[in-house]
Amino acid sequence: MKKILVVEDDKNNMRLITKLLEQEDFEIIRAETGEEGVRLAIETKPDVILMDIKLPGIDGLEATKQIRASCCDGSAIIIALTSYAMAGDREKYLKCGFTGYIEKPFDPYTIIKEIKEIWKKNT
Amino acid sequence: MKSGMKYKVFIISLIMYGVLTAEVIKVGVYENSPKIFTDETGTVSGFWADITNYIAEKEDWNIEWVHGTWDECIERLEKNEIDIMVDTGWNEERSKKYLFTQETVLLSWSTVYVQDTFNFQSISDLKGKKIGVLRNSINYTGPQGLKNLLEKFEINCEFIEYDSYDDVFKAIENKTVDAGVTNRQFGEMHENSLVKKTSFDFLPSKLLYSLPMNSVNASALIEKLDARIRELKSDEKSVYFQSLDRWYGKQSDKKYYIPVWVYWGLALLLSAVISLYILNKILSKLVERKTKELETAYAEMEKKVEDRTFELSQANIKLKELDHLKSMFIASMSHELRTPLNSIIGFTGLILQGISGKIDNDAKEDLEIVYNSSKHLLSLINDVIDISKIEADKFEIYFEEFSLNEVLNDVITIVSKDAQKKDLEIRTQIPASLKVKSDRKRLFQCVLNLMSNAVKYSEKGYVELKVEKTDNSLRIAVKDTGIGIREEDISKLFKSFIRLESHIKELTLGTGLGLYLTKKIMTGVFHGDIKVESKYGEGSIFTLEIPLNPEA
Repeated sequence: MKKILVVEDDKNNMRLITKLLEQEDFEIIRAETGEEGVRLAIETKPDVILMDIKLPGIDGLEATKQIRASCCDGSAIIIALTSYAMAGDREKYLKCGFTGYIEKPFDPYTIIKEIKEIWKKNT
Repeated sequence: MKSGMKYKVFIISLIMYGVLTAEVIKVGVYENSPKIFTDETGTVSGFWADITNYIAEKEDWNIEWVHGTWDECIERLEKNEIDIMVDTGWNEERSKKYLFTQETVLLSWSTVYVQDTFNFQSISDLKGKKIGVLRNSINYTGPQGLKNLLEKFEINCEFIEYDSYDDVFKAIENKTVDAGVTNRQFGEMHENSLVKKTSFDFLPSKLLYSLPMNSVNASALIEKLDARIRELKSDEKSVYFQSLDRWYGKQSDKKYYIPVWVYWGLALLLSAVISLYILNKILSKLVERKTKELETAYAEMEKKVEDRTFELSQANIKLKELDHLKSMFIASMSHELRTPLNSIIGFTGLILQGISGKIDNDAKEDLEIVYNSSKHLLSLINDVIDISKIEADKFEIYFEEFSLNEVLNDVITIVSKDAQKKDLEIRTQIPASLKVKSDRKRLFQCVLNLMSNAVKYSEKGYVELKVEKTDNSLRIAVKDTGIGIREEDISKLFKSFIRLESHIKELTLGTGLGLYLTKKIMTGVFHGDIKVESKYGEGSIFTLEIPLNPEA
């Protein structure tokens, strides 16, 4: 069973993404802040991390930096899942240490497939 | 007391005696500088005055100078009215009339002077001329005087007698006479531009003191005078030699002629210099004033420029701030709108997939409308945000190397669902493993736009995506078998918020921004172009032409 850590402060989004993920054989770990995300990433060593960017406390960029520095030999698969979807945002996040980038609103029909593809490509 | 009084009386008597016993000697004076003359203060001066004063001091004489012309002096001498006459030239004739001292005081020559224009070659040139002479002087009426001399050579001329050599010279200067006779000393001192010396020197004569014949104390005076003169002449530092030096010797004391034109020249030069100086002063005043004005004007201008520059830079800062605020606003609006939309699209899709439980078909149809509308809202948001940037010519370009196949597959995945519904075939002609360096998001956006249009406006047949890549260009063509475009409408295609009239327009959602944005992106981001071929009722081909590695 694949472990997936979802870092998301918006309750609606958390409910949506977990409902979609539950359709597959995922063990879901939830974090509502960046700090919690970092802590849980170190503790549970998930296979994939879905990271929101705008978070209370440290943001998704900082959390990713910390996870890269202290977890999983720096090779964790971290996917940005964000409403920051202006031109250049994708490139910015990929440069800052994210493995993949999925913009919100995501397609509820294809998001699981997208996550799997990124995961497959990076293992 | 009594004896003291006697003593005082005795001293006063002695002084009185001294004053009384000092002999008064009357000495004749005439004007013949530098030998003897009266200077501007009335003091008797010149060589003879110096030595006479010296002797008088030594001999305890009180000199009483008796002034007169030469003629008057000689007359006084004859009448025994003066004791001594100075500067008397000796000749035999005179020695019968007067007594002379023995010691020669001076030796003198007489010389003829003429007007500056007179061309004097020899004595015969004086024939018929007017000659100025000193009355009763030996160089005139003396035995070897000029009168006798000229008579001897039978040269007739008119003599005009004057009372002093000064008058003789003046007569030459104002052309009353043609020539004149003076002694050499006077001549050398008074030569000027109007009176010039000739080579005609004559009558060398000893100059002595002369005394009256019938004077009682003449022989005593002669003895004293001779003794003093001997004494003076034997000492090189005596008054005699000092005086000679003073009146004749020193070059600097000689009066040299300076031509009149030199004075005029100097005056002219001086006035020119003064004029220039004044002119210079005036000019520099003017320049100074103008410079001040310019400086003031310049300072004012500089201040204005500074103020304007400051205002402009302030305005610029404000504009930059506003621009930044606008960018921030657009970015956060984009973010904030997407968050609720994510829930709407997400949960609708979730329900439609049956994840939240079974729903009946009617509800499913209704939800499809919600889903499609929210998707449309998303594309509207995307397009409006894009336009706000594009209208400001603020294309943000992010070039990266990526797999074109991946991007095209994403596009196909998105449009294939709608295509399936219409039973449209999606054909592809895409080379494998296409890597390009370009702006991924923009390229995706453009291809998706063309593909979704093709699907949207086709009701049967197929949609074909064809890619051709060369070393320096990429060509992506989307061909459909849709409704096509009327020729007259083609020019409207790329305008904003324009949707062409058709029966499909009523059935589908659209912003009217898709092709407008695609064209803008093709030219603005890729420096490429979009082309369209269409046959109404048969279908269209939209082609994106993208140069690779564009320089600009």
